[in-house]
Amino acid sequence: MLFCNLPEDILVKCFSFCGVEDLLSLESVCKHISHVVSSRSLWLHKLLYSEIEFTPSILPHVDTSTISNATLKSLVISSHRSHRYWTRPQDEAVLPTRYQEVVLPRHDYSGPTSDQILRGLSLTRSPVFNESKVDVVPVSVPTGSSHEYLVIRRSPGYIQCTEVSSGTCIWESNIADVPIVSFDVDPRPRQGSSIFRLLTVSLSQINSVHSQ
Amino acid sequence: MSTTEDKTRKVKLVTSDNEEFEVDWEVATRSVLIKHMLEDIGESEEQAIPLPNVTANVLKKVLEWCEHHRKDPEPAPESSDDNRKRTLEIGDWDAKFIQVDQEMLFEIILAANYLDIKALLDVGCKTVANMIKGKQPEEIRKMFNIVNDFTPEEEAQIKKENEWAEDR
Repeated sequence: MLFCNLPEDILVKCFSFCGVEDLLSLESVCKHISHVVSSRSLWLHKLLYSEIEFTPSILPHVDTSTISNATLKSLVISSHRSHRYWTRPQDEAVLPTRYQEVVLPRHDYSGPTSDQILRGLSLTRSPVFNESKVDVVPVSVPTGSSHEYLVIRRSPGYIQCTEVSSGTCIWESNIADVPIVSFDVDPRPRQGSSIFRLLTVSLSQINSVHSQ
Repeated sequence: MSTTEDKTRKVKLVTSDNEEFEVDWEVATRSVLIKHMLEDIGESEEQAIPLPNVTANVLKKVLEWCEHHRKDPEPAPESSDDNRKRTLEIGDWDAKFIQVDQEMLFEIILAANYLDIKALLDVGCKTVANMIKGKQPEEIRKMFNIVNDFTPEEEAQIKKENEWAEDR
């Protein structure tokens, strides 16, 4: 009794316990095995009942019986692949986020509101305002309603931090650096109320995380 | 449903090579096929059940498994079982039991399939899957004595198709 002489339904049953990588290896073993591996039930089962992390995105209204075998297979493989990339550290894969903390000195501020400033102020880094969408986030000091810094963001992925009272750019993200996708400000006083923190989030390769 | 009478009842099985086995009802009915046959023949207890697809040495092994698992609960219905996640885990006893040569492994799988012993079929199939796990195509060919009947071009084509699924 040779392995290949086992009835097809038994081979399918055996392969149903195999992982996706093993199925792909089996595919190139010989023609008969390759034919068995292309069995619809194998890939449909992988698609519908695999572990939750592997679950690929199929729209809820899509009837799985209308998905072709080839698509089933590619859905399974791609979801499997994404899962591996998201969970394996030290890979070449893209990590979802990179965090960067910027520590800025804290000053007392008693100037105009952010709107007034934006409306005609001579900021030292003015080109920011002429190009594209700009978010202006005044940073609140915990005591009172005054603002000491403006965090300005322009696409793509660039942010600039400007001191309102002087109009001076005190920090900007490195243009050569990876795009910043979001940011947050932690205005709680630290180190005797002399600094506050700006947190940025970027998409990044893992090696640039190491270089921080 | 088993009655008290069933528990003490003996069942005779005859293999393809004409060997006769007498086993407890509880052991024999691990096989859904035998269970149904017993239900069919009903009162005629003395009648031996022919198993023309199973040889004595394989049946002996299968009955060893059935004996050990005689008290196992009834297997869940096929439908609900199929939806569960498939793991490669095998119980300790089963893992030891299934340490046989390939020939016997395949015979046990075939017998479990024919006799309809789902749990044993699973043990066999998981063992095969475990043997395949992590192996390259060439290693699988060697292990199962398979001849590569792809032309180099066809092989390259498959490799190309699956390339995007690989790491690099």
